[in-house]
Formats: sequence, structure tokens, C-alpha cells
Amino acid sequence: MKQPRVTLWLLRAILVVHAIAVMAQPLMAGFYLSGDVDAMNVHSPIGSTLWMISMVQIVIALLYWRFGGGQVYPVVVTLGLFVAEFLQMVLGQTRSMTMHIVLGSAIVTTVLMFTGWSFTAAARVARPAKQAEPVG
Amino acid sequence: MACSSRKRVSDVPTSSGSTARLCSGAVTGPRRTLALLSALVALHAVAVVVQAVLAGAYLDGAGTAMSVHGPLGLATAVVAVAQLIAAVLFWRPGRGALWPTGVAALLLAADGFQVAMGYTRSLAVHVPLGVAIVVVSLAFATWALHSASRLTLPESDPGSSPQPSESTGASA
Repeated sequence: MKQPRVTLWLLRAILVVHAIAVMAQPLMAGFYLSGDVDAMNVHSPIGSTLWMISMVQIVIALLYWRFGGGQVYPVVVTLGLFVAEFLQMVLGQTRSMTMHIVLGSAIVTTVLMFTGWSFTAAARVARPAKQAEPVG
Repeated sequence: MACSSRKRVSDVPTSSGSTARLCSGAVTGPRRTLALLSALVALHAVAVVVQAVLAGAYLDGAGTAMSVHGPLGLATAVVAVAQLIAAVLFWRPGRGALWPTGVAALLLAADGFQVAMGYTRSLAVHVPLGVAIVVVSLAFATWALHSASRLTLPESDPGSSPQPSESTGASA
């Protein structure tokens, strides 16, 4: 059965970039809140870029799924991240801090767990061969 | 009965007083101690998520949120102490893995430091450390509840339903 190799390395690479970018966000937010107003000049551009990283990641996840023979979950999770990160940018610009902080924590958690997962043996597992779909 | 290399083996006490060797990816030794650990890890995860909500509400202008955020931070650290005790019990006498004790110890240290950073208004540390605590707590809770669910529903793991056999068998 075909196992993802090249596409898995691409997925890992984009996830590492994604993870570094999302980890910078609470750091910059903390600096900003402690009085370093320049930190917002880093926090905002990264925040406006994250959903674009997710767009690239969706393409890679699709390749991992279709051509690499991997699982479909990375596509689904990345779609969720794309929506969450776009919403997160809007919430930040509208200063909706309650939602922004909770959603931000959720995004960091998801990206880091996703990145960790991509380096486990489970990420190398090929999706099951197509079988007759069970009825119901 | 031989276990495949990816499956864990554990000897669990049976009602008849002997031990049964379970060969499964689902059922491992600790049961009650895992249930206790899972409950406390879940409680800790809920507490830290509530802390994030309260911090956000405070920044949105709800000044009273901080009068809950502070005391709840202390309470979270107390839960972290109970979580560490449960993790040690999971290890011995529960015969579970040792690493949850390490994670619980790390969380307790982080929680204590986080409370100090909060009360001294060191937000450059408090905010990223808070996010890190949320990440670790949720990952820990995912592991704990996943393990706990497999304990109560071993038949959900197809092809490796637990098959107790006397540990005095040839493989013992």
C-alpha cells in the first residue's frame, strides 16, 4: 500500500513554519500588553499572513491525501484552521478580545498538536484501501 | 499468546485472584488511577480555558473578570498539585507510564510561575506562558481522555479485543 513520503515532508515543512508563526503571536501580544507598542507591528502582519499559510497548507494536505496516499484528516483540520485564522484576524482588528484570546489559544493548540502528530508514525500510515461503503 | 510488537502487554488482577495477561492496544494495567488522573487533567484543562476567557473579558473592559481570574489562577495551581499526585499514583501503584508525572510536574511549576507573573503584571511572560499552559493542558487531556475511553470501550479497537489468558502460559 502506498505511503506518503515526499508529500508528508512537505506537510511537515509547512506545519513547522505555521507553528513558528502562531507561537510568535502570543509572544508579541504579551510584549504589546506589557507596554512595547511596536510589538503590534509584528503581531498584525503575522496575523494577516496566517490564513494564507493555511491556504498553502490546504494544497499540500490535498497532495498528501490524493497523491501521497495519506489520511484525509489533515485536509479537514487545515480547512478548520483557515476559517479560524481568518476569523481571528477579523476579531483582532475589531478588538473583540474575549473571542480573540480564546480562538488564538485554540489555534496555537491545534497547530502544535497537528505539527507534533505529523512527526509520529501515525502520519506515515496509508489510508485504508477503498472498500465498498457500508450502508447507513 | 504472542502480542504483536505494537501492542502493549499488561498483567491485570482478575476477580479470581490470579493475574491475566492482556494483549491489546486498548486495555492496559491502570484503571482506577487512570480514571482519577483523567478527571483531574480534564478539570485542569477546563480551568485554564476559563482563565483565557476571563483574561479576554478583562481586556474587553469587564473589570470584574480580573477578580475571578486571580483566585482561579491560584485554584488552578492547586488542581495541578492534585493532578501531580494522581499522575504519581498512575505510575505506582497503577503501573502506568512515568511520563505523565513529568508533564504534571512541569504544569505545576508553570502554573505557580504563571500566578507569580500575573500578580506582578509581567505580561510579556504571562501571556505566552498562559498560551503554552493551555496547549500542554489540552494535549495532556486529549491523551488522558483517549486512554480512558479505550479502557472503557476496549471492543472499539477492531482486531485486538482483549483476550485474557493465564500469565502462567508459555510466554510468561
